[in-house]
Formats: sequence, structure tokens, C-alpha cells
Amino acid sequence: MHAYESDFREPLINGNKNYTIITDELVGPTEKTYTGWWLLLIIFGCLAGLFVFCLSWTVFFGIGVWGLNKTIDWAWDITNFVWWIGIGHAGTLISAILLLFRQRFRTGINRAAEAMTIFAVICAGMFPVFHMGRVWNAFFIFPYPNTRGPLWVNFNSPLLWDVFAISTYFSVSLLFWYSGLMPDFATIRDRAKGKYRKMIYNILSFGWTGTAKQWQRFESLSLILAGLSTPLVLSVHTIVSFDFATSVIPGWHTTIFPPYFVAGAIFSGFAMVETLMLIVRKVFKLEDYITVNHIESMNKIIVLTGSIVGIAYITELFIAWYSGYMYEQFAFYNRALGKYWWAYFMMMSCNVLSPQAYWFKPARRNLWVTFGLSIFVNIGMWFERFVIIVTSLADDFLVSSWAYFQPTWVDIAIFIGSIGLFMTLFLLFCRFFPVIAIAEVKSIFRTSSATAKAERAKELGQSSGGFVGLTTFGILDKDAKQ
Amino acid sequence: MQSLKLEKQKIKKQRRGDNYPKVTETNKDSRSQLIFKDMVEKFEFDSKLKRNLFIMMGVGLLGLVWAFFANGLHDNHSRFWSNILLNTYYFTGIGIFGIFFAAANQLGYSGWITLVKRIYMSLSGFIVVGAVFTALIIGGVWAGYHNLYEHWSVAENLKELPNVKQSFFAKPFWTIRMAIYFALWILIGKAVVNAINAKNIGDQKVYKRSKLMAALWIVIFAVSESFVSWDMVMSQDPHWYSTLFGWYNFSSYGSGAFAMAILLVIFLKSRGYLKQVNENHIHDMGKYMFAFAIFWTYLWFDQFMLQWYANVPEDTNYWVKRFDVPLFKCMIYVALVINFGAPLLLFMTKASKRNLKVAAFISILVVFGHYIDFFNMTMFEPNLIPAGTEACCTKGKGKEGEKKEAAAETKGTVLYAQADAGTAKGTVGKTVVTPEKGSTDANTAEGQSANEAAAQTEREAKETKTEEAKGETKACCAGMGKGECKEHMAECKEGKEGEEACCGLQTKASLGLPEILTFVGFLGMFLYMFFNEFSKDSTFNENDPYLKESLRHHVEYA
Repeated sequence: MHAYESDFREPLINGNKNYTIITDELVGPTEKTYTGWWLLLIIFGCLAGLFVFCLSWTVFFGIGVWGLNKTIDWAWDITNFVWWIGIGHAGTLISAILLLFRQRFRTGINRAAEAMTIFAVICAGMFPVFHMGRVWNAFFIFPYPNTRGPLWVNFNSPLLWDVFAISTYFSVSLLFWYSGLMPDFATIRDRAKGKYRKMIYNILSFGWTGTAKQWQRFESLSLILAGLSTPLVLSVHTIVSFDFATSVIPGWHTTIFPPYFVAGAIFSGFAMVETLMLIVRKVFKLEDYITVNHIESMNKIIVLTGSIVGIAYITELFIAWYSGYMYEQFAFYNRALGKYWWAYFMMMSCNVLSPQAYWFKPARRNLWVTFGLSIFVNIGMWFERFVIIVTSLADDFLVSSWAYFQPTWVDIAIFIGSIGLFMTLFLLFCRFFPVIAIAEVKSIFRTSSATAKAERAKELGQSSGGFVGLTTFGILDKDAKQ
Repeated sequence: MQSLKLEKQKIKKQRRGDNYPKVTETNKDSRSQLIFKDMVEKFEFDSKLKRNLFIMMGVGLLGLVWAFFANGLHDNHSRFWSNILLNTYYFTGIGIFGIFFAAANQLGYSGWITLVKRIYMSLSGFIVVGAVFTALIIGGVWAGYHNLYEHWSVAENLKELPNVKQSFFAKPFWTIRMAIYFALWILIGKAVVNAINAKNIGDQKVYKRSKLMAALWIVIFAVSESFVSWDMVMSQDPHWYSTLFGWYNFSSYGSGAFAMAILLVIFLKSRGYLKQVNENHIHDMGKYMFAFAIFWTYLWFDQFMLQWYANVPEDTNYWVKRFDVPLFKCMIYVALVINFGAPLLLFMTKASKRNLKVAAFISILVVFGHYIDFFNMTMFEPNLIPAGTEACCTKGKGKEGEKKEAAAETKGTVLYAQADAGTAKGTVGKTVVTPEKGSTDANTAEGQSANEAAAQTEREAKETKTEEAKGETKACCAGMGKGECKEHMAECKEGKEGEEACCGLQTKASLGLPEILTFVGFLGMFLYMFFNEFSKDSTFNENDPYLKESLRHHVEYA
């Protein structure tokens, strides 16, 4: 990162800080247990149990317990799958692409976003696997030289490409996330009181000692992984969109799907990061590290991607009209005004209209508005997938086979259960792992913290200080100067 | 405790949004601002450079005249008109993209770009010229001078389109749309550039206004760039549609704009300007060019692969036609190699992005490569001659086993033949007449003056074509030897034989000297408008709040 930062830029670490305080405040959440945490863990743990129960139910009785029918043979399962995959986009986007764009605000949120990515991809993976019906044969999706005769996977199928794309994405994201955690585990280890705690964190940190050589290798690894995951993050949702766009179903077969799915994924990913981070910063008192500035930046990305998605919706509508192709026109007419109009309405209002509030600064910086809209976006993005998948299938070419999808209790419970699984994993992560990347935050301390800015302002005199009143908290500790 | 209290107050303030960067009167004339004043320089658009650019424009004029007469006096001059459309569209695209990129950076608080921001913004100088040429094209549509949009600009053809397209491509509606795009680009574009360029941008209010204008431009650009791609390019073949087309076009002239900006920075540096711009800035500009090369390929692949995979005739028609004509088949691959292969292999490393020579070389390739990309889009339809191609000979070779494939191809031709009623007044018919051969075909002799008679002939020709093609399931040159086939093809060319399967697609388009010269001419005009715009003000805005970041910019990682 370049050494000089304009004083016009708002600080990314607020308050009067030094490296010791940062360590204390960021490691803190792993050292004590909050009652609220237990409460949440119990609630979401039960939901995760429900997830396991419903999947077992599905395996035992067969896919028939879901609401699928002959016409609509893909519904909530694939909707949930795409929804979770979309959410799983923000992490690597923040780590890799924002790194390439030198966006320093990423340091406050990248760790949690990466963790979220991994948990979301785990949730996503469950749906296609259990939709196979006979899960014990799930390994059939891997093209290994087999002993069952000339039985190979269908390389022409985008569903198989999905297998490769998602498994690669998951591996690289996991590596990226874990390698970033190593120095922070070492930080926790160095402060650990108990013998076993020390031992466990030492193992987790791979015996990190923080020598110059280790840092050098660490940094080149980060770069390589960032380089690898940038195309990966785009490829995953592109290939998910191929699942639909390579078909000839009106409403599915459209060339804009790949980039628009990616934009939608970033959109929903950031919304989920906001939902979680707004709670985390409050519960763990991390307001100085996940500042309103961070929230505002994320909100800008949300209004951008939300509008991109909006343009894509309108482009699709326009081209359906323009094509003069009656099936295409019918599919879109049906989508907006047919029997699923309510889903389309939810999608449009939550995804396109609601983020437009973020054109206004007060809305971007208001935490309540942000929290509400992040939930809206999550809902809207679920409906987007529902609209694309179910409404396109429901009224197909043959009028006699038109159908309406109704979820069974298993469908609903599996979806809620997957949220339980996701939250359980996230809560465990919050408790035992540092939620904010300690080393990364420290790396921007000299350039972007309020403390450093105040110090600079003091050195140069009032005149070059961009911030009014910056010097008022510029009384620096000796530690900070070292 | 004291500091805790203050912090709390600060957090409260922050929530209200009071903590926004503020510029006070005192720091407007601060020490640092005075230092920057020494760096202020203005580009001098000297007469020598002007003269050279005028020579380029003269060369371009020559190219246009050449293109005009390339196919004889009685031609419909499609080569001339499609060259104008191609270059106008490409360079206007670069222009609007330049403002877009500056606006996006303004909104994103980008610091590094400050020194070169005016280069991107000045790319927009061409928009006015683009408007003039577009006005010429619009005039041509009304007066019937050209066949760029003949599928709907000719009344009879319009009637054959689906209802929705009849209303969408009604001439007045189309003209109004085109006028709106250019009016917005010229008026708002100018306002955006002025707002970002404002001398007192250090002032809080002015800075805020620049961001507001930048946001406005992003919205206008996002909507208009999609629409203009449909109206100016996709409408050439109104039967084909792709939802991605607008975004794909965006990525294409975006790549061109990044490459152009790199070339211009290198040129300006060679003249002693922009001394503060160093390899770190070039590196970042190169990264954008590289990223867009990948982005373009991504969108190209998405569009192509999805249509190829689903294999819906309405979609694949666009590609089948192009792949049937050797020139376009070749150029599609050339575009891929230049626009994707070259940056990927030669421009990925840090060292190559920081090397001015490599950067210049790749940029030249990319500027030309995206010209070829637009060549493939815009040159095909107007220059098509739906009869007689020699490539057919080698393809057919009498293999009975390929009957099925050939039949599919025939269908493609039929689709085209239907769509193409009224192509190339004067050359349409079953015959392709090239003036060198001194043919005395009646249609040609009548030329443009005998529109009605021509239309009549066309209709007849079309009917016969359709009927014949419907009955035609045989492959071209089925069961013939190579020599026999060649003979047959010669007959086909002379119009003695009516076998439609053989007399496939042929094009008047070529990437010959007229095209290159025209491109040079438009490039000269583009550069003239750029330098004209760029010389109006200092090379960078010395009051930009992020100037210092740009001056001290250095890239530490790839």
C-alpha cells in the first residue's frame, strides 16, 4: 500500500489507539464468553439440528417429500443453492478484488466475510448433494477412472462444471482464509493463559513465530491466492448461471446471465456481510474497527450492484419484448404479472428499489436503515432465484402440464435449517477465531487510523488537516509512536 | 476518561455524518498547495502536431473516397457507409467511456488517477465529431442513401418484422432516441468534465458537486450505452438479439479507451509533459487494460458459448453467417488472439506493465484489436452479397454424408435471404456483379435511379430464392468432382445456375487499404479532438484534494 494517504480520507480505525490496544480489543472476543452468544448458539444449534433431521428424513423417504412435481422439478432446493452460493461471493471478493483495488476498508471486514463465504458454500453444497436422492453415491460426480465399466460423468453438462468450479472455489477460499488466520492465531497464542489453549492455538498457527522470512512467504502466498481467486470468484457464479442459460427454456436462456449473476452474488454477499457485521460490531464492541465509514463503503457497493442487477432485469424485459418471440414474451409477462407476481414484486422492490435509498448519504450512514435494507436484499435475492427458477418452469410449453409449486414442510424446514447451520458455524467462528484480521488492521494503522491522522495533523500544523477537530484526540501514547 | 468521552462524541458525530472530510478556508492556501503550483503545466497543441493530424485526416478522407468507389459507381457504397459507422461508433464509445472511467474514480475516492484523470476525460472530445457523423448516418437513413439499417429503414422490410419491432424501429422514434443519446452525452458530458475539472475543487461544495455529476453520468451512461448498442449496431440485424450485447460493447470500447489512454500518456511524456507520471501510474493503467481484456473475453465467451450451446436458430444465425464468410471467420479469431491472447501472454507480469515500450506495443495491438471486434459487428450486414461463394466449393466436395449439415446451412441462408430483401440496390438479384468483369447485367445498369423496378426484381428474386431454398436439401456441389464444382461455381457467379446452396454468402467487406486509411483518418480526428480538449487546461487539476496521493503513488504488489 502506498505510504501517503490524503487527509481527506476518513479514518478506518477510530479512537485513540496503539498496537497494544488494537490487540487487546481484537483478541478480546476470543477470551471471554458472552451470555448472548450462548443464547444464539442454542437457538441456531437447534435449527442446525432441524437441518440434519430434515435431510435424514429426505434421504429416508426420498425426494418425494419435497414439493417438486413433474413440471417444476427444480424449486426451493436449487433456489437455496444459488442463494447460498451468491452469499458466498463476498468473502473472496473482499479479500482478492478489493485487495487489487487497494481498498483499505477491506481489512476491517475481510476475515468475517471469508469465514462467511466458507460457511455459505458448505450450506450451498448440501442442496445439490441431497437432491441426488442417493447421497451415498454422491462421489459419482467425480470423474475418476472407475471400476463400473465405461461410466463417466457428462462433461458437456454445466452441472458438472459446477462441481469443479465450486470445489475449487471452496478449496482456494479455505486456503486464503486459513493462511490469513495463521499470524492472528499466533497472536492469540502469545497471550494465552492456559496450557492447552496455548497448545491448541500454536497448532492452529502452524507454529508461527513471525520471522521476516515467514512474513515474506506469507505475503507472496497471499498474492498468489489473490491472483487465483479473482478469476475464481467470477467463474463460480458464471457457471452457476450456465446451469440455466445453456438451456432453451424462455426466461433461462439469456446471454446476460453470467455477469448479472455475478453482480447479484456480490450484491447479496455484501448484504449478508452487513447483516452479520452490524451485529458483530455491536456485540463485541468493535465500532472503532468496523466504522460507519466501512458501512458506507459497503452500502455504495450495494447500490452499485443493486443497480446493475436492476439494469439486467430491465434489459431482460426489454429484449423479451424486442425479440418478438412469443414464448419469451410470455415467460416474462408471466413472471411479472402471472400467478407468481408476488415473487416478482418482492424481487423488484427489495433488490432494485430499496437500495436506491443509498444514493443519499444520511441513509448510507444510518445503521438502522443499513440493517433493514441488508435484510431486504437477502430476501430479495432469494426471491430473484425463485422467480427465475420456478416461474420459468411453472408454465412451460405444454399448457396441460402447467403447475404451481407449493413447498412442503420439509422444503421450508431445510431452508430454515440451513440458516441454522450457517449461523452456528459463524457463531463458533466468532467465539474462537479473531473476527477481525488483527495483522491486517495493524498494517493500515500508520496510514489510516484517526490516531495517525491526528499525529500528522499535529506535525504539519492545523492547515493541512482535512478533519475538523482531529487534533482534539491527538494525544498520543508512547506506544503508538513506536 | 477524557478521551473516552471525546471518542463517544465523535462516534455520535460520525453517525450524523458530521465527520465528512471538510475543507476549511485556512487550508485552501496551505503550504502544500503552493508546492503543487510549480508543477502546473499546460499542453501546447502546436501547429506541427496539428499539421500531422490533418495529414492523418486527409489520408482518412482518401480512404473514404476509395471505399466509396471501391465497388464501382453504381454500387450502394455500403463499404463507405459501414466504415463511417464502424469508426464513429468505436471512437464515440471510447469517448463516453473516458468520462465514465473518470466519473467512477471520482465516486470511488480514487487517488492515484489524479495526475492522469484529464487524459481519460479528454477522450470525450470526439463525441461532438461522433455526433456529426451520426447525424450523417441518420440523414442517410431518411434519404435512403445507404443500407446500414435496410432491414427496417426500407418500408417493405419493416413490414416483415414483428409488430414490436415495427414500432421500435419506426424511423422517427429511432431518430429521436439517437438524438437523445448524443444530446445527453454532449451536454451532460461537458458538465461532468467541467465539474471534475473545476479549479476550486478543493472547496467542499464544489467537490461534492463533482461527485454528484459523476453519479449522474454513471446512471446516464449505464442506460444509454446499452441502448445505443442496440440502436446503432444490433439493429443492423433486427432478427438477432442478445441481452448481453450492450455490456459486451461496453467492455470492447472500454478496452480501447484504456489502451488509448496509455498511448497518450506515453506520447505526452515523450514530449516532456506529465513528468510526475511514472511507471506506477502506467502500471495501474495497464492493470485496468489487462483486466478489461479479460473482461471482454469473458463477455465474448458468455455470449458466444451460450448461443452456441443452446443452438437456437434465432441466436446462432448471427454466428453461422459470420463463420460462413472466410473474412469474418478469420477476423473473429484474430480479434480473440489480439484482444485476449496478447495481453494475457505479454501483459500479465508486473515488469511488462511497468515497461513503457511493452505497454505501448500492447496498447497499439488492443486499440486495433477492438477495431476488428467492431469490424465483425458492423461490417457484416451492409456488405453482404447473398450469392456465390467459392468457399462453398471446398466445403461441399460432394460428400453425401454431409448432407444434413449442408441442409442446416441452407436454412441459415434462407433465413438470411428472407431478411435481406432489398439488399444492395443494384447488385441484388441472383448475380454478383463486379465492375472489373465488365458485366452488363441489367440490374446494375439501372443502378439506384430505378428503385421501383429494382424493388420489383428483388421481390421476385426473393420469392424464387425462398421457393428454391425450401425445396433444396442437397449439399452444394453434391456428387461433383473438384474441377466440376469449380466450373459450377463460376456458373453460379455468372448467374447461369440458380442453385442457392452453392451461391452462399459473399461479402463486399474487406479489411483492405480503404479500411485502414479510414481508420487512420478517424484516429487523426480523434487525436485532434483529444489534444484540443486536453490543451484547454493544465494537464492535471492542481487543486484536486487527492493530488498528493497521486504524486506519491507507488505500487507495491502486482
